[in-house]
Order: sequence, then structure tokens, then C-alpha cells
Amino acid sequence: MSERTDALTGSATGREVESLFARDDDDHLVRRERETRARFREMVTVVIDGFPIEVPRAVPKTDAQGNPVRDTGGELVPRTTTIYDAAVALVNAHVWSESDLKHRIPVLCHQAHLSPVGMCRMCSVHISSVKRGKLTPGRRLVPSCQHRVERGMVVTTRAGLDGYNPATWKAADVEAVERFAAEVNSSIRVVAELLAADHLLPDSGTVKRYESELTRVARVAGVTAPRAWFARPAEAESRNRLHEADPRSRRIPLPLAPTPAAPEELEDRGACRAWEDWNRTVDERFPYSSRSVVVDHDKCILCDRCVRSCNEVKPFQVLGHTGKGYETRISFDLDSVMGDSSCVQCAECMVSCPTGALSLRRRVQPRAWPDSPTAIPQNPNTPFPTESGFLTADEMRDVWLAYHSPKHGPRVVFPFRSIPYAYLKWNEGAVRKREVVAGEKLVLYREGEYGSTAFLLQGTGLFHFYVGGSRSGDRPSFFGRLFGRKPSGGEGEFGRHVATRPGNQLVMGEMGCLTHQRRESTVVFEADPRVPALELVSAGSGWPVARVAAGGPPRAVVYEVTRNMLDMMQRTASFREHLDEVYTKRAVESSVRYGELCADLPAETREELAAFLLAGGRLEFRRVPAGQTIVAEGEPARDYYIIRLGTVRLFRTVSGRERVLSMRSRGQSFGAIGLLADDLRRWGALPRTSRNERVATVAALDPVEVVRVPGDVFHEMCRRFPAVHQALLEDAARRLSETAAGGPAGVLSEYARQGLFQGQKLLALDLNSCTRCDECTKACADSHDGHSRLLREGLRFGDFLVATSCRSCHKPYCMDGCPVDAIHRREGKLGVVIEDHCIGCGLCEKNCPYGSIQMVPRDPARSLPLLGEVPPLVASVGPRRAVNCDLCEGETPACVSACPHFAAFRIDGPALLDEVLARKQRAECV
Amino acid sequence: MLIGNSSSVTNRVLTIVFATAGITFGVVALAGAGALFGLWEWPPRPWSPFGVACGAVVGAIVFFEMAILPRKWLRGRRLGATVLWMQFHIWLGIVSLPIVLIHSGFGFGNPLTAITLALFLAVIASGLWGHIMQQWLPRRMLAEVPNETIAARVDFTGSYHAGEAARIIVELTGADEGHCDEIESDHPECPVPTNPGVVTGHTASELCWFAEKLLLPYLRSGRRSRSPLTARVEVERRFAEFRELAPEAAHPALRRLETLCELRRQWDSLVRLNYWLHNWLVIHLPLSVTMTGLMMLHAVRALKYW
Repeated sequence: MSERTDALTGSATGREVESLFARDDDDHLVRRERETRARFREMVTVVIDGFPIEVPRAVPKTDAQGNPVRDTGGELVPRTTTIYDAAVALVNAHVWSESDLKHRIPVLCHQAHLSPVGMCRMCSVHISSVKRGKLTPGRRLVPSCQHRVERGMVVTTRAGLDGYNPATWKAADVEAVERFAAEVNSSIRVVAELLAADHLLPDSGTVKRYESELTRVARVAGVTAPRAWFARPAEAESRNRLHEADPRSRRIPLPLAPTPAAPEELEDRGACRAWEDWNRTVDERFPYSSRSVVVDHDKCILCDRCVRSCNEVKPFQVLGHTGKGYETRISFDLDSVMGDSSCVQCAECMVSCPTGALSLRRRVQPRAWPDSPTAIPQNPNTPFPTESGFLTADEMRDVWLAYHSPKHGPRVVFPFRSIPYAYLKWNEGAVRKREVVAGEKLVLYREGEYGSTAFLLQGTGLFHFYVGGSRSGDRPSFFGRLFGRKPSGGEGEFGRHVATRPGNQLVMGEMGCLTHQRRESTVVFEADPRVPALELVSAGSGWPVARVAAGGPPRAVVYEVTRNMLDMMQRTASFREHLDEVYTKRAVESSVRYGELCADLPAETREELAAFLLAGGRLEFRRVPAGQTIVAEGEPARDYYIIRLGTVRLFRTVSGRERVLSMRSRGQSFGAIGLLADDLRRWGALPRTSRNERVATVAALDPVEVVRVPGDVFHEMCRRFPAVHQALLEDAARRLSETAAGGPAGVLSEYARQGLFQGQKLLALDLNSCTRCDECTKACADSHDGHSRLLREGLRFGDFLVATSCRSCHKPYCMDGCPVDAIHRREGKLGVVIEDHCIGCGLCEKNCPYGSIQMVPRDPARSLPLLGEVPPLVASVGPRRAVNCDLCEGETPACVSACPHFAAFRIDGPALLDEVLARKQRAECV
Repeated sequence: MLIGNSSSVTNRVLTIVFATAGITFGVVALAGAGALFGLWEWPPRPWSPFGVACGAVVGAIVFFEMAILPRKWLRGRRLGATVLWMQFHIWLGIVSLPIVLIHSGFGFGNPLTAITLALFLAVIASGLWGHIMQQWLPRRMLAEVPNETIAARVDFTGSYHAGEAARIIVELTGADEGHCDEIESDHPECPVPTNPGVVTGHTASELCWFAEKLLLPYLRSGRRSRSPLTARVEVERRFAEFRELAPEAAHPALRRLETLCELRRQWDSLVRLNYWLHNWLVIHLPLSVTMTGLMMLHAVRALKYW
């Protein structure tokens, strides 16, 4: 796409760009110019408190997880670099520490993953510009979170001379810097004082449920108590009263009905009463609340973080503003009570709230593992069970990991510190500590299982990796048990030992957790006698370091975390960087070791080949978004690619139309034909006139991870390993002959278009024998509380109807971003299970490209109140939950079992393709 | 397949017919052979031990056959694979035919037994008819209805398409939705629209009349509307005429309208085929229940006076 097309101007969209009330395309009341990708390359130098830093004028826009956002053409979307970004660049360059940044530029309304709006002005800085070698001071303060960087910009923060760069101190205009800093300080202090006077109220709960960023920022600004005449008048009316603009059209202000008791509390009457009391207290004082979130408008500073979270991080667009002047407040839909609005209670707004205006009302009850306690109390006031090693929010905050980064050396990471306290409190039970002492061994996870958890390593312990072992469910056969054979014990059951790694690797099991694939090995861990335990000590820089603790028995600690926690950690750039470092290294290793390249080689040669390829870090790991081209037909062949994850399609363009030649997926590779063109010409597989160029275009069908092997490494590999060379040549020649023979291009294109390559358990109905009796649908409904998880409609492929039902995709999009990790696979089973603690946010339904997930009302039995009758208002706003085909949890699926005509099958994509091709061939023969 | 593994429908239908005939003649011949060896008399009398034994066997088979009904009600309980039930249902049903004939002594007997036997034969015939339909019609449906939907939702989807067609007509002619009679033309009820669309004048009024009188009723009700658009040739002819009269810009919309007609025509076929695919059950099921009741009455009565 050309640079012209994305350089949108106001006139292009019919909007005013330069007027006072100009709005951008997202309807933000912010005067801002649209960015262009050309500015990725335009570098400007900005001086902040005397520290120069060079930054590009625009950076790629990222989503909440730090992934670059792309437009419909697959191009990166640019975002203006702000002064705050430049300050963050100083932190990344290790010029400032993070606490330095917070001291110099306190932020309240700004978050890295949200669009800046400059609402609170706490991040105000003074800017000057250098013109003709002369410093020209600006006339007003600007919000650093939103103001763009310019060439020759000189920024003064509230730190002033105290935080000035010692190296440039002498050249600075001391008087001017002092004056600017004083202006900034004064402004920030007044803002903090005004906000604190009006909104800094004590928490209404009995336990800590959130951390007030306003308190912290006020402390940074030096505000201990606001001036008396700033204070809110005692007689001022609370903003929490229900507003009745027109009584005829508005709801009668009712207090929220008693919340149904949590199931785990039914047996304990005392706990039930406490639960009821607590709910009643909240209801009366905060009538805008919902069953999950307490809404206190009096604490709201209108920072817009919740509104942006609801619109940008999540797609729900429920939150907005209502009222005007002092009565302005956030609103759900058209100023509904949160519980009655279209809000799905995903709690993203609560997580982003800096003042506790939106705070936690109940825990989410995550149960990611089968041996969880039967219930984690929903009421955050109820004491937390300690017996299973689950951590409370406060304990999570104290978790530290000693990690040896290949790039940056040893460092200590606090993985949960960057996660909002409210989120940790909401998800208490999502992290548990697992500890072994000397002589003990513990299996972290087993090969072949689908894990939805990852393991954070504290820094010590030994981790043994095994492959090729028996599956967790393996038992001796009936006759084996009859003759006294027992399940194999000891290390033998785990398979072949392949490696032992120390505990300073930060994380383990993250690949299965992040990519939703089976675990590639079994990991057993034990205490390391050489590093018995670690302790934290403070280093000279103020940042703690880990050292070996003296005395005590050796022990190793691991923290098991659910996927949603890992996602949340990745919102922090530093943790994301650490995780990416580990992930990339392991992804490259596993691609080489377990790919088709090594598949048929003897173990010894395989190890040699892997060692050769992995030596020197010559291989490159690449993530390719869906639809993007990896190599193009006709371009010179330079590299060889191994697919680590996802599926690619190989096609040629004939007369302007794509002709799909084949598809390749995880473990397979491409790019060899172009590199081996000389040999193939000698073999006669390629015409003598052909050149060393790509014979087909390769494009990603879904998000793909590939490992790029440079051409010189590839040729060296072929020279050193003749068996591999021979195998590659034979494979290339075979594929060329298949292409020449002319495959069923139309069928393949349709196969790719319908996304059937994703399916591991497609529900295919043979329309030759299906009598449309709907027994499959009825059986599904009868086996699943009356909600059928399949619809006998969909696209045809050959003689088959691929019904709308869970396909058990290789890349399960539905699992992306679940805020409470309620959707995952269990053990080694393919079925996608939605746990009962689903909050009904509907994200999985939205993510599923095949429409297989449905939102249904929760079982009415769960919504019954403990005391009294269900008020009609509450009964009508019953919570929803997502339902999906779970493949009947390992039994023969009801849909298949119920079919009376051998018409319904659960089949994987390639097998369906083979069947369709075979029938096509038979029909042609006839 | 429940009977025969051939991919050819004809072969499968012949298999059903020949299996029924073969089993019937085979079992009867076997019984006749037994009579030749003096094991029982021929034709067997219903009240003879052999006749009663045959009756008991048939009774057991009928009870098993009827057990498929509660099995359907309890389909959530997973009482074995349905295909196995169906295979036993069909094969035992076929086997029961000669045994009943032997039990009856190849006669109808008293009025009760005559009615029971007649019902039994009707049940077997309807079952076989249904099974033959199930071999033949799915493949026809596959060929004739490429844009298949769920038969029960045809009218609903048709109404949805009618709404879409109405919107297209409004955009083409500029008439208000549902007020085509505002267009004035040869048709007295059609005044000229105030805000003309792509198609204007006489063609607009023709199109509007066509939509109101023929197209929309057809999309809503299909063949029941008795619209001439039921015939594909008629649809092609009318839309070809409109394409000649209307400007180029209107052609994509006209093509879409033609596609909607084609879809509705396919779905009419779907409804028709679906009816023939399942109507046998309307006979088979009540007759089976009645026959079972009469059979029990006959059994009680016969055993009482035996």
C-alpha cells in the first residue's frame, strides 16, 4: 500500500482537523494529526531534563498484548511518538529507572496500551524548542502522554535541576530550568490536590480490593491533604444517586436485589449471612453496581481509562459518558445500572480504574487444574483457602523470579507487580506455588497433554526433560492387570531423558500454554543441591539481586499460572521481552529437533544435525500474521523455512487466479526447491531453462511461526549431511511431479477457503446417506442441558456438509484472550471445554471464525436467591455463559452415536480432503 | 449403509428388495423343508406348538422393534449406537415377515387376526418404502439443492429474502417500501415515485408490479403462491426482459433477485424431497403402535383360549 493512502487528512474523511473541537476518526475529542508509516524512519532527538534521546516520529501501534496492529492490507498502523514515549525510551536505554520515570512524569489517565487522551494533565511537562541555536520556551504546559515529539524539542519535567543530567548541567540555563520545573510542579500539585479533594475517599470494603493510583500520584506530587476550601462540601449530593431526567422514561431507583449465594456457601449458614450482608451494604450505597463490580461514581475522576478499555482493549463499547459539568460521570449504555446494561462483566474497566470507582465485588473462581479445591469463595471478604498452595493477591505481588537472560545477564523479575491489584484479587486462585525439598520429585507436566498453565521458575531447582514416554492415562491392559502387571513406575514411565536444565530459565510450559498445542515433553523437577535456595538482597543500585541462601535444606519453587495471568503479564513490555526471549529460543530448538527435517534420521545424526543448525544463532524466528506472504513466486531463492506453528498455502498465480498447489503445516518445511534447483535440474525434475527462484508463492493461512534457515547454512547442511540432502531432493522432486501432474486445485482452494485445514474433529455429514432426520442435533441437545452445540447447516465440501460445530482447531482462536481462562483443553483430550466459571463475556463466541460457540442463559437453578423470591428485574437480567461442543468429553460424540445412517463422522481436515478426492477420482473413473 | 455397501443407489434398492424377498422365501422354504421331514404339519396351524412358537418369536421381535421408540426418547442416555439399533430393527423386521406368514398359516383367520396381519404387512411395506426412499432421495437432494438449508426454516428464510428483495426494489425504483402503488404507469395503482431510482418510468412500474404481485409472494410462500416463477424458464425469461429494459447499473441487483428466485426454487424442491423422505413415518409409526396393541390383544385372547 502506498504511503499516500494512509496519510489520511481531515478533508479525506470530511472532518475538521485543526478546529478547536476537531475529532479524529475514532471520535476522540483530541486534535491530532493522522500518522504515516514514512515517519517510522524519521528520527528526532529530544532532550528531557538534559538527557538526549533519539526516537522515531512514529512507532507501530500495538494492542494490549504488545502485538503490532495491522490494517486490512496487512501493513503496520502508525502511532505518533509522544514525549512520554521518549521518556520510556530513556528507561529502556537504562538511563532512567522506572521509579525515576514515575517521579519525573506521574501519570494517571494514561496507560501504555490505551490511546492517549491527555485527560488528567498529571503528566504535564514544559517544552521549549531550539530555533537558530536559541532556546525558545513554550507558553503553556503540555501533557506528555499525548504531545508529539518534535525536532529540537527540550523538555523539562517536575524534577527540574534535581534530576538534571549531570553531563549537560553546565550548559543548562539553570534559572530557566528552575522556573519551568516550578511551573510544572505547581500545575501538577494543584491538579492532584483538586482530584484528591473531590475523589480520594476511603475504601468501602472490609478487605483491600484495589490500589489507588490517585493516592500514589498525590504522594508523588507532594499532596498530603488538600486545601480546606478545595474540599468537597459535606452537603454535596453523591453522584451515586440514580438520576431521573424524566421519571416517565427512566427506571424507578431500586436497590440491587440480594445477590444469589455462591454455591460453596450454601452449607455454611454463617458465611451465607455474611455474604448477604456484604451484598446488601454494597447495594444500598452503590446502586449502579453489578453482580461483579461495585460502581462508586464519587471516586471517579473521569480519566476515561474504563471507557477506552471497553472500546479499545475489549470490543464491547458499553461504557461512555453522561451528564455535564460537575454531574458528568461514566455511564453504561444510556446511563443504565451496570447489571442491567449490555455489559458482559469482563471486568476490563475495573482492572483499568485507578481510583477504585469500579472495584471488585466477587472473585472469579478460576479452576484451571483438576485438583483445585472444590470452590474458591466468590466473596472477596471470605478468607482464602490455603491448603492447595494458591496465592492471595498480596502474596502474588511479592513473588520474584531470578532469571538469567541470555542478552542482559542475571536479573530479578517481579512478574505480578505490573498487574493491577484488582485483577489479582479478582483472579485469586489462578496462581499456585509448588515446592519440592531435597529428595522429592514432582511432575510439572506430561508430554502430550494440552496445558493451559505455565510455570514460573523462582531460580533454583533442576528440571529434567523426557520424551517418548507413556501417556498419563496409560494403564496395563485387562490381561496385563490380571497377570499382575502394574503401571510402570520411576523414570521409565516418563520416557527417554533428553535434557536437564537449571531453574534460572524464567518460565516453562509457556509454549503449550501460549500456542494451545500439546506439551512436547514431560518435565520433572527436583531441588538442586548446588543451589539449595535463593534469597533477595538489595544491590547498590536499589534494584534487588538474588543470591544463594546459606543453610537450610535444598528446595525449589515453581509458580503455576493460568493463561489469562500470563496474558496479563505480557501487557508489560519488559516481561514481554523476557518471555519472548525464552520463547524464541525454545521455538527454534523445537522446530529443528521435532520437524520433518530430522524425523527419519537416526538419533545420533538427528542430534548432530540439530547441533549444527542451532550453533551460532544463525536461524531466525519469524511470526507471520494470517494472510501475509512469506515468499513470492519468481523471487530469488535465498532461505529455507521450517514451520513451527500454523499452516501455509503454496500457490501459483495463473491468469490472475490463484491455483493452490498444496498446504504445509506444523513441523513441515518449504523453500527447498529453489535452493536445490541445480540438483533438481540435473535430476530432470526441473526444466534446464529454469532459474534458482521460487516456483510458488507461500502465504500464511493463519498466524504462522517459521524458522528461517539462511541459504548458506542450508547448503552447508546439505554438504555435511548427505542423507538429509538426498531426502530433501527426493521430496522436492516428488512435489514437483505432483504439481506437474495437476492436482485437484479447485478442491484444495475450497479446502483452504473453508478453513478445513484447521479441523481436527470436523463434524462431517455425508449427504449421500444423511436423511436430514436431525437426530444428531437432538441427541446433542439431550446430552447437554437442552442446548445443542451443533447446527446442521454449514458449507458443503464435496458430498459432505461440514456442520456448524466445534472443529477442535489446530489454532483455537476461541481461547485467545479469555479474561478468566475458562476455555481450554484438558489433559490429552481434543475437546474444547468451557468451565463453569465462564463470565459470559462472549469473547470466545466472537473469536470463533466458524460460529461454533453460542451464548446461552445460565442454568436458572444457579440464579436462585438464598432468601426470598427472585425479583423480576434480576431474573430478567440473567447472566449468560458460553457453550461449545466438548466432544462429549472423550466418549463417542452424541451426534455421531445418534446418527442412524452412518452419515455423521468426526474427522480431521486432511482425512476429509482425502475422502473427497477419492470420491472425485471414483466419480471420474465411472 | 444399513443394507448393502454399494455406492450405487439402484444396487442398494435392489439389495433391499431382494433381501426381503430372499429372506421371506428362504425362511418359508426352510419351514416347508421341516414339514417335509415331518417336524410339523404343512401349512402350519397357528395353534400348533410350531405356530405358537413362531408367534412368540414374532411377538418378541415386535417388542424389540417398538423399543426403538423409548430409545429415541432417551437418546441422551447413550443406549448403544443408533446404527446398530437401526440395523437390527430393519433386519429383524424383514425376518419377522416370513415368520408371521408361517404363524398365520398363510391365512388371515378371524377379524382380529386379519386386521393385525394386514396392519403388520402395511407396517413392513411402509418401512421398506421408507428405507428405499432413504437410499434414493438424499442423493437427489444433494444434486438438486446445492444451496440446502434446514427444511423447517425454508419459509422463515424465504421471508427474510423477501425483505431483501423488497429493499432492492425500493433502491431500484425509488418507491417506498411496501408502497409500490405510488408509482404511476400503465398499471393504474402505480404512480410515479417522487424520488426516482436507477430504474425509472414504465420499467420501474413494471418492476414494481412484478415484485408486488409475483416476486415477493413467491419468495415468501414458494410454490404455494402459485406464482409462474416456480418455473425456472419463466424466471429467466422475465429477468432477461428486465435486463433489456433497465440500465446497466441495475443489472447486479436484478441478478441478485434472480438468484433469490433460484434459491427459493431449490428450497421448494428441498421441501418436496424432505416430505417424501419422511412422510412414510407418518404411516409407519401409528400403524406400528396400533398393530402392536392389536397383537397384544390377539396374544392374550389366543393364549386364553389355547
